[in-house]
Amino acid sequence: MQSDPLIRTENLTKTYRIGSIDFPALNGVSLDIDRGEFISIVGPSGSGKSTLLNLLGALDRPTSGRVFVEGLDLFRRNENQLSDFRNKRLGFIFQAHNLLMRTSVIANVSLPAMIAGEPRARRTKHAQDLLEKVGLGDKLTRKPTELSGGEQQRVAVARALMNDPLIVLGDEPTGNLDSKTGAEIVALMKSINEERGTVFILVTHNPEVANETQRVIHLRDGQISHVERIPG
Amino acid sequence: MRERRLRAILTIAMVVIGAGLMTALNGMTTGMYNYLGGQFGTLGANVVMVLPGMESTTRITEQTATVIKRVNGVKIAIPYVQKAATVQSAGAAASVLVTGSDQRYLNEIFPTLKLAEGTLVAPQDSIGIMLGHSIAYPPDRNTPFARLGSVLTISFTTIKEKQQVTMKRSFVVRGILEEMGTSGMFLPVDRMAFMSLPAATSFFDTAGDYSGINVITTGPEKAEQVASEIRRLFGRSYEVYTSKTLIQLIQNILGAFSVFLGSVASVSLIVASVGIFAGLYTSVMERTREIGLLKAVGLKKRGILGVFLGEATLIGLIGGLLGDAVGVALGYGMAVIAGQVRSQVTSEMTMGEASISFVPPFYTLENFLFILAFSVAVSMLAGAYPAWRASRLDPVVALRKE
Repeated sequence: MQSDPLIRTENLTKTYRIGSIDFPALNGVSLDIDRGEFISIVGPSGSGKSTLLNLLGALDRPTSGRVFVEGLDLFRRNENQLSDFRNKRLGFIFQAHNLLMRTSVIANVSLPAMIAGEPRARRTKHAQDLLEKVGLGDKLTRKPTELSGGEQQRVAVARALMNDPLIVLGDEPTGNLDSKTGAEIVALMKSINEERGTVFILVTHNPEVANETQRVIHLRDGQISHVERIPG
Repeated sequence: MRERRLRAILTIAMVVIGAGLMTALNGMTTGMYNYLGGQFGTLGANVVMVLPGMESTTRITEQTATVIKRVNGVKIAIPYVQKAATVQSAGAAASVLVTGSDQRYLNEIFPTLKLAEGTLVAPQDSIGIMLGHSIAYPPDRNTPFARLGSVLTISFTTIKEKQQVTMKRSFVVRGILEEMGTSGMFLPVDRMAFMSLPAATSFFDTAGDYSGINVITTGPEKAEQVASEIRRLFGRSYEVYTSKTLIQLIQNILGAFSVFLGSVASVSLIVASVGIFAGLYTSVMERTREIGLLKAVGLKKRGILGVFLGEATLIGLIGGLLGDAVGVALGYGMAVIAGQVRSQVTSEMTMGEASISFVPPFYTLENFLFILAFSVAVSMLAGAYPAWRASRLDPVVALRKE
């Protein structure tokens, strides 16, 4: 591993104002994530897991604190620059409803590349390759409604990898799947991490998923309570 | 999914109705405009028509004619008497519009008028009459109503000393005109009869009052000048028209009418825009999650704006194009119905012959393009706010929705 971490957060806080009440979702989180890591974030409801993920994913801005990615202060960027960052450097996998239901599988996967302005032929080929890699090479023109839950998540994985991101963020990616399918998805992500070195940060409440990762960050009441290393 | 498609179809349909209505009404008024221009163009270019004023009770008399004759640029002034009457021949009767005037200059006043048989009635001929084509050869009969040399009776009813009296007199057919049909003039020439001025004056007992004066000027370029001079001399006592002002008058009225109709039709497009707004707004609400996804994957605000504005524009484009096409058919349909209504009404007024039944609508490329552009503009405007709302959605909030 390199000396400089890929991601560093400094005292990250996020406070939501609801009416006249301030609700501190995240209360000073500082952590480092290195290149090639496969980590999970766990904790009870309300611990701030999703909030942390949203901040790392530049979907939201912190109330205070900073996030450095590759040494650069993430939130010094304006909104358009953040959009660009998400498009080229990140991939997202949500628990459900990852895909545009009225578009074909291959168009769904090509979406990030289309936004990046990649020419059609190239991005279609690339999407095809990725779909083959996740085992769905024969379902290119299907619509998501024709796929099983596990298949839809595979498509989401393929899409997340489309622009060759640094980091893939998963918000309960196996939450809607049965344990067998869920394990397959985790295995897929793990193999991609080992092959390409893509960082995976998975928010999960499932200990089986957490156990497949290298490092588990435990959150409680908006702060890191402890960090667990998984041997093997 | 099906609901969404239905909604899109309905929204497009609203635009189609609005654009179609605009196209149809526009086409009809343009057609009418062209038609009337053609009709009134057959009045001689160097003719000025003097008619009794609409608001005044001043009569047109011999003195009027004398004054007019002295106006610079006037070649000759031809007074005439015109009355509705009935003509009888060998037991059959028909209604007819009788005009008494000096017929030697008839061709200068109506250049497309032609004699089929015989001659014009001489200026002092007190028993001669010239018939329009449909009087002599009625279309609903195999045999002619009258021939050259036939003797006819003209009768008309009037009030004399508080009593209704019918006057009759016999006339000899001196000539028969060619059929003018609907390409003729605004006068139903085919159903008219022409006699000399003295004959009409004495028979209709008009005692020096004329129904109007046709003034022939020395050249077309003098017509406007003469008309203004006559207007200046007589003020509002008389209505003075040249063929040019007549056309302009009709076209102005038509123009104003078509603007009015166009505005009414454009309101229907504006109503459609409310529908587009509602449809797109609902669409944005329904696709909140989708929008969140697009933002997560890196689509910028402008991109999202583009997606929804693009949909609005497409609705306007498709609706406008279809509306143009539908409008063409609609215009023809409406013109046919209008023509039939007109026939019913005018046949009572022009004594049995409908002079205009079907005026075809006229469409120009400019109109099509304008209506298309208008449809697109209205749709884009309607879609602007929902699209803007979509672009401003917070991705975190949007992603929470199912």
